[in-house]
Amino acid sequence: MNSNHQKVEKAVFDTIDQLNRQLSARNRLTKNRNELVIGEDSKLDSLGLINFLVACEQNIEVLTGQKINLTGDEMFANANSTLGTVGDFIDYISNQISNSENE
Amino acid sequence: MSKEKTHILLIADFNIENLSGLFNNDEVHPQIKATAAPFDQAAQILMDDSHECWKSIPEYALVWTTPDKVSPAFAQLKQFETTTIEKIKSDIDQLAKQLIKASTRVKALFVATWTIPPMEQGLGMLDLKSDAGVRRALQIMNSKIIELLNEQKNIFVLDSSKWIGKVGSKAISPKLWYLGKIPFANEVFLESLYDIKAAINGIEGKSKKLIVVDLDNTLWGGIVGDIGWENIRLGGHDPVGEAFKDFQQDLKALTNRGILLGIVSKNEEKTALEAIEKHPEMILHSDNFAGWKINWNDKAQNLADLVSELNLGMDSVVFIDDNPVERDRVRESFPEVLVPEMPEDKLLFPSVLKSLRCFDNPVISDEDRIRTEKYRAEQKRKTSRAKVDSIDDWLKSLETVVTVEPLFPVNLERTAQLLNKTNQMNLSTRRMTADALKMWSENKNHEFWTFRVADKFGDSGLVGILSLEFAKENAAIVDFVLSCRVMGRKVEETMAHLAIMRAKKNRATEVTAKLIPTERNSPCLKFWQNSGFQCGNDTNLFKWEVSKTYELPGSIKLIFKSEL
Repeated sequence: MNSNHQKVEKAVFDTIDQLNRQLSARNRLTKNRNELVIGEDSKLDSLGLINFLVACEQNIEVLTGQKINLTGDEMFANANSTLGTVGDFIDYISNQISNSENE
Repeated sequence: MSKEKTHILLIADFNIENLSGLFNNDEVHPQIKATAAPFDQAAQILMDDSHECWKSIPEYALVWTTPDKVSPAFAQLKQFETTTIEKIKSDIDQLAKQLIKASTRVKALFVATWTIPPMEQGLGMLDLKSDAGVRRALQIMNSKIIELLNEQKNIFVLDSSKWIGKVGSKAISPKLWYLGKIPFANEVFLESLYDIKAAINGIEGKSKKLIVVDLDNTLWGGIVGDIGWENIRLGGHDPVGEAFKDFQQDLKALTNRGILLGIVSKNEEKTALEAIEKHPEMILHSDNFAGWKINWNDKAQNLADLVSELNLGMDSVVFIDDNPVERDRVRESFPEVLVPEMPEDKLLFPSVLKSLRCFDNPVISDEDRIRTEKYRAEQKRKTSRAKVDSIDDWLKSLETVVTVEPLFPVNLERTAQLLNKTNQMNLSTRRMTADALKMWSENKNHEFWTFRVADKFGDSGLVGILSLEFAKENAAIVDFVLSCRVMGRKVEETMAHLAIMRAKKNRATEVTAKLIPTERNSPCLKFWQNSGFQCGNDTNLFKWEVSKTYELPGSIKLIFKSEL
């Protein structure tokens, strides 16, 4: 696991901690790669997802110095098809950052 | 026994669900159940008594609106269209009426001031100068609403620009706005939550009353016992000395808000007091402290002794010490004491003190400003107590005068404050706003009396409340409240004497006092158990037959301020 991947994982887990401060007990997310973020079975409603994505962007910027866009139309299209779990998000963001660093 | 959560209704013209979630999960006292009112219906909710969201009977409400929504004229101005300041003011007049109407449904209504995102440039250099300036109009709007609501005792306008300023550049997220109609980051909502909780604590009488400070490296730099008072760092052309001086100045300022100061320090008392009295740049002198424990004993024990001497509860205390070991000791011994984490850098001490929210109170009365003086007088009383043999002789020597007054407009605020802050000598511990209190006292079946106490050492001010409810031949004591400052000086018996007198006058045959036990009012229970009133199967219900006289204590001179 490279250092960017570790930083992204920390940023996403920090986001979960922040988000859990406002979620009811039954809707709180676990810091687990298999936790669903998107999809019918996710504990997050649409407002929860918005909060998750925007906070993720901010935490990623703080920890990696990279600005990423998780809230654009393209992202939502991708999210619907390929992203579902916390682990998917961590891998997706790590790849985005690696790609931008290699460009 | 877990207390039910305090309920707050959040009314906004934006999505305020995030704040609601933060309130519902925050476990710091007071625990709050928040409900977000339906989005973007602020005006309807404020005006409509029968709106669904009022049915849960919230105790508090927050109204947080955006300036464009409450004032169409302001929205026009933001588009640099032609409008007038008068039109904006007229919009604010309308809103103020709605807020005043809504405030009758809650114990207190909080209103957040309006802001615009800091990144908006407006008219630039003309923004505060021209009638078309956006920030000028915003300032006028905020000033207007503050002015219109100023006389409302249970409406508090809260400064949202402070919350945004504390969070800084991350306070506003356009993404949250466009995706979720959320204008602020959660950090802003958290700042508002902390302020609102502090306000509720103040209204409920739970704000802190006493700051106990260490001396060496807390009130001044250096160890006075090692270097002598001439060499401690305080004031002068020294950044650290200046910071300590400012810290003392800030502590002294708090005494003007009714906060008491105390000292708990490991030192030789004579050495420490010499520094306090002799150092030319010392801001705080011994008269500014309600009491002190300066010795080599355990600080937690010293703290408990000092707080007990001052007749306060540990949960009303803030303990400030530069030493992390001492802070941990006090935290561990008394979790209810607030122990702020003090930074290593002494230059930051004043800002830590100024950022504490635990002293917020809904009013600051003249009584508050002279509270330390009263406690100093109490210390003198105790000294005189030690000089006489019997308690009766001592009480007589105090020459105590108790003045009874009805509820007047001039003593209403102080009375409400006393009712809402007193925990120990409090029969029912009911909490009421000044307006509700006035309304209750005006009921023809109710009587409401206040008590002022003075003696040869000083005037303790308005310190007691007695209220009675008459039903047929029964006179029920509803409120029996006495400040801890005068407890045990026969004022309690004087109040009971008055209760019997008033019952007789109103042709009641029996006076009852029903104590509602709380974690804090055992001193009240002890008084009633020893009062001479009869107690039956219900150990919290006390009765007196009015045909029997309840003597006025011989050490008390009773004065009636108006015809009884």
